[in-house]
Amino acid sequence: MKPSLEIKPIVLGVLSSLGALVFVLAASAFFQMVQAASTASASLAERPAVGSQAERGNTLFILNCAHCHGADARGDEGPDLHGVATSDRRIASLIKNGINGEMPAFKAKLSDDDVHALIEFLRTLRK
Amino acid sequence: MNDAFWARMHGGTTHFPFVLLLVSVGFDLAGCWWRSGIRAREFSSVGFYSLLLAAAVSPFAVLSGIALSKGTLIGSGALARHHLFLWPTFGLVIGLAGWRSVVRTRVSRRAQGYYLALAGAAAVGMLGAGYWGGEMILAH
Repeated sequence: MKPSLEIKPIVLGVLSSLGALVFVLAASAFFQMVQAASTASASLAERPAVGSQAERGNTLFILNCAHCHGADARGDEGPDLHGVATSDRRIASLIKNGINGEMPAFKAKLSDDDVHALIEFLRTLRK
Repeated sequence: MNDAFWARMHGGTTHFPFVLLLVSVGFDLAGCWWRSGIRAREFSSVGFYSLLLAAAVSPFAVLSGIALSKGTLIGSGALARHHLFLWPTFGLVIGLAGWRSVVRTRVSRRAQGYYLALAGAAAVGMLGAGYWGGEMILAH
């Protein structure tokens, strides 16, 4: 067989391979965009109403809790706080007294009103 | 379309190219082994069409997998190993199918040898990707 007859299919094969990899990159970019859009819309939906107790709780959360629980409260060093089923009283007690060796106590730093605002904010975080 | 949908799609589509590629390599090897005219051509035909089907189905498996991993190209742990086997294999399968659909039976003995070596490498890559894909399921 002449070399020219073999080169054309090889070029086509290499181009097909490259096309396949471009397909992978394009699909990956597309699904990353879809994921980013869905995360953005989810965080917009979760944002508490302006002027509400929950909004104040959100600010308090960023200042005091986000360091361990993550800015989106999805968990980091501390657990994910979305869809917490614990009672308000129990959450208030945990925030004020902390958990020995796991979470600091905030009773010296946060007032009862602050704790209430934090709980209002936590209740806006759906699973 | 949620994760469960893509997981089902990936599970459903990924086994076709996996098996078809192994079948293709097996029949091509058999075609090479049997030197007699008709038998060799028949085996080679099965190998050819199995490879074409594997190449035709594999984009669906890849697409559902990328959707499942939310666009992750490499990732970490078992997912990274799965991808490191998968991407070269996917490129190779599509490339070999493209090459073979042009040359058909007009292929020299030497080119056939190279083809079988590359198709064998793709089959090994597919086995590796399948193994690490299975490990991810077991880990959950």
